Amino acid sequence: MRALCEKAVNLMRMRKIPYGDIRFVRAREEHIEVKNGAVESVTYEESTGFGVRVLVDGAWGFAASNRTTTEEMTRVVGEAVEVARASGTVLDRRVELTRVRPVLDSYNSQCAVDPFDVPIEDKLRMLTEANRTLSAEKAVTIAQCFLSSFETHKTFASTEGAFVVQKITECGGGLAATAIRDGELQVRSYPNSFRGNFATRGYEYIESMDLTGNAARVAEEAAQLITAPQCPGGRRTLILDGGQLALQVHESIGHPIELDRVLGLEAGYAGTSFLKPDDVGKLRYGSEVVNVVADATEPGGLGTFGFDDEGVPAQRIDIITEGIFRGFLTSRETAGAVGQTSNGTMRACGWHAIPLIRMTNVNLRPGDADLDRLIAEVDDGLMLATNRSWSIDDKRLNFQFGCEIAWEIRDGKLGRVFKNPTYTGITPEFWASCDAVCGRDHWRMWGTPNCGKGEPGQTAHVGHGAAPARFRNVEVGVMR
Amino acid sequence: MIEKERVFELAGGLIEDSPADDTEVFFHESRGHLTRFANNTIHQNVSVTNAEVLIRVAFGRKVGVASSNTLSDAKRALEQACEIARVSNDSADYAGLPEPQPVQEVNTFDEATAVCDAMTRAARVKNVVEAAKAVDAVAAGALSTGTGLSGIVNSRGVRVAHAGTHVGLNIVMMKAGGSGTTSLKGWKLADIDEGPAAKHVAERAVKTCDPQELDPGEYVVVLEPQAVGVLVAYLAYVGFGGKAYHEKRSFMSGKLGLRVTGPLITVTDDALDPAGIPVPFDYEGVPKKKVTLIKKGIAAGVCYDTATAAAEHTESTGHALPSGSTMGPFPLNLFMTGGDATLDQMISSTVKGLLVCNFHYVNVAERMKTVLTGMTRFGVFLIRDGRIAHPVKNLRFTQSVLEAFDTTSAVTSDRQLVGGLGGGMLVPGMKCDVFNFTGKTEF
Repeated sequence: MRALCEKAVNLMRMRKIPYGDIRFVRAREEHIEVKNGAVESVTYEESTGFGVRVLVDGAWGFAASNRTTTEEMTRVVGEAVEVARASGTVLDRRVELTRVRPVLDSYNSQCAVDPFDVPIEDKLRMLTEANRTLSAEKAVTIAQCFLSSFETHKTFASTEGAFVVQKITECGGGLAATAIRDGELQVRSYPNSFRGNFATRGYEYIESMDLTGNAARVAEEAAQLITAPQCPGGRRTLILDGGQLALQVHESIGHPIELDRVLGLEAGYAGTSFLKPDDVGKLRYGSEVVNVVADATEPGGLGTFGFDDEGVPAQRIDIITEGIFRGFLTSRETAGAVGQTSNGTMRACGWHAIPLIRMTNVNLRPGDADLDRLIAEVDDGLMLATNRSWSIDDKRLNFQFGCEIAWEIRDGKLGRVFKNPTYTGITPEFWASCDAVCGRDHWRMWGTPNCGKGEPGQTAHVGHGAAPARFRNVEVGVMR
Repeated sequence: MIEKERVFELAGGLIEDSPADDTEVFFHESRGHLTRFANNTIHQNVSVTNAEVLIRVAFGRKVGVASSNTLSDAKRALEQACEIARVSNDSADYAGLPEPQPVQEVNTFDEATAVCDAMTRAARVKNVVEAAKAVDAVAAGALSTGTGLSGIVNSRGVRVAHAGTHVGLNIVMMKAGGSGTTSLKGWKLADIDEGPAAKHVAERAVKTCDPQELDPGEYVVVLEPQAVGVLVAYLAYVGFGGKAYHEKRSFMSGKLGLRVTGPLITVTDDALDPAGIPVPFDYEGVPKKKVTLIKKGIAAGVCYDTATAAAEHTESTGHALPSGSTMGPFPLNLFMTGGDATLDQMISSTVKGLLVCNFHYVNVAERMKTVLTGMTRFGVFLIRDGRIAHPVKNLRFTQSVLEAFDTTSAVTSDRQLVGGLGGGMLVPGMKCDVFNFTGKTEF
């Protein structure tokens, strides 16, 4: 890796390319699923290659290849320059990179037990045991147990002199119990839906989940859901569990604070943002109990790293403080628009992709509430858990979420289960209705390994810290 | 690009070396280019070269899958797949590898598209940007071109390969609260004419300026093809795959032969139809077969790969996804049959309703009932007394697709090839007499 990166930087300097960088990435993944007592799938993938990004006359060019030879690197550098020159023919505004101190450093994410050193037999044994417990519940039609491991080695070098080597290890897994009866389908998951929860940790993270220990409860809740009544509609007090709140933060805070969206750079696909550059320090985003940071240094977060893919060190930045909007996620290209330098959020999903502004760990900071007290203070409300569906408009204002399960709250106590709960709102109004966030005891990191953005499409791993929180007067139950 | 014979040689060598009972090698080489623009500027521009082998082996019913994009390491990927299979438990679904069958040759390779360079793409983007500037709009979007060669060889004698080119253009324009979009897809750059497309989008961006607020509720809707394409894609996602059908997760489960929509709805998957982007075989090397999914409102069939076909005691229809995918077979080349109406006729026959140009960020709210939720985007107009009254602000819908299609009262004869799934979808516009909008936004 190192030799090819050094050669590429030397070549770009010799060709007097104003700015250039190279990222060499070697990545591997393993995915295991056990379904209804049998192995559904065990797959192992390796991907290696490098991408070269150049800025010529204020225009970007990028080329990448899986062939890691010096000859191919030379061709790819030339191709990136040709592409940049073509970009320059349709250019209303030249790119100006904000300054950054070139870093010579390395980083390894925390990992006690390398997940690729754990025998597949052991992983299958654990998943099969959990699966057996799920399947023991008669109402469970489909029992699924998942485990995934990721390892990424990347080397970044730039013509400015940066040279960064990183190794990031990630793990995750979960359970899903599906009950199907009379044309009805209900799913209950643990610890989160869509294959579980994920972290920049080693296999110790999988062991800490205690999938088997949670399987019986998950199966029982699936059985409850298949016979549960429909969640009633109306305006209600809501308590959202941490997993659902993580996605609420993701969609209604994480994406709108991406400065590339704000500046219109994603308008052709995912959309823009309701935020404007001059909203910083002025816009009320939520109530006074809403405090949000973007923290790429949070231990174990799925958006945790040492340096972004522009060589900028990982940072912790204020996003919302006591309800007031404080800052965007930025890059070297965009930060100048808000009079700042990059806060280090540019990441690519592989060697073949350009870095984009991506969420790091966008965390709702813990408050001081206790979950039991939060529930006890509600006369008539609902507690919703675990995301089932999500949708939000292209400026990130009108959202609608569905959850796997709702519990009625009546006179301060959790009661019966409802199926198909949904809620909807407008982003700043919704966050303004938040009157309590649970404390550190209830707070945990949630990993989202499937954050889509960009063209060609990229999938990022990002994190969200969240504890259960309460929202007043929310519209619930939009379903035909 | 690598020669097909070289692919067969490489894959054949791996199969010869394999100790497994069954071995399948999928090879894919690609050159992809994408020129992306926003704020009337090319801001991202990429060219990527890649090649990978995906190997599936089985010892009895113990299956392992491994892939690598370092071709010199293909042998190691084979060893990895074998190692996985050896330590694995039996797969419940594995039904062996398919036997060889004759595959119809299709031509989707265009030399001019294959050699299209960054300057050529930029020149076309410039035409789009100039059309936007002409109406004081801001353009965004992407133009992509590329080549791909896929080959599949297995130990039962399957030996197929296909090389193709692809091109896609999506255009967005924005102006004073208004916006418009279109997407064009194909395999020949010469078939993509950005001029008229950009002009159409520019006109739409102008016409949608200063939208007015409208209360949500039930409306008659006239859906343009891009909006219909979104609904059809999600219908496929929740219901047209053989695995979902077999596991009773599909709205089609137990409904074959029964009415699921109104009689104007016919949906097929046909990867060989030249009106789409033809593909000769699936990811197992099984020839593509035409499948009628819904015929005049009646649930008619679902698509299968080898495993799900065995489970349902039928034959694969050639709809396998890459090995290792747990999604099961999927229709990637959808067609909705056109009717005899025009969009203008649909509008003129509507007393009060909405013309919806496209949807945004749609998701499944309730799978078995095909209830989706999502937003409108790139233009919604109020129709009053048979005429477009004015643009309206975007609305959220929460609606069962099957129920909407049950109220379909007209379908256009014109169809548009839209993106969304692998090979694009050829879909018409349609009028639905009931469509439920459940929320609104601020723009």
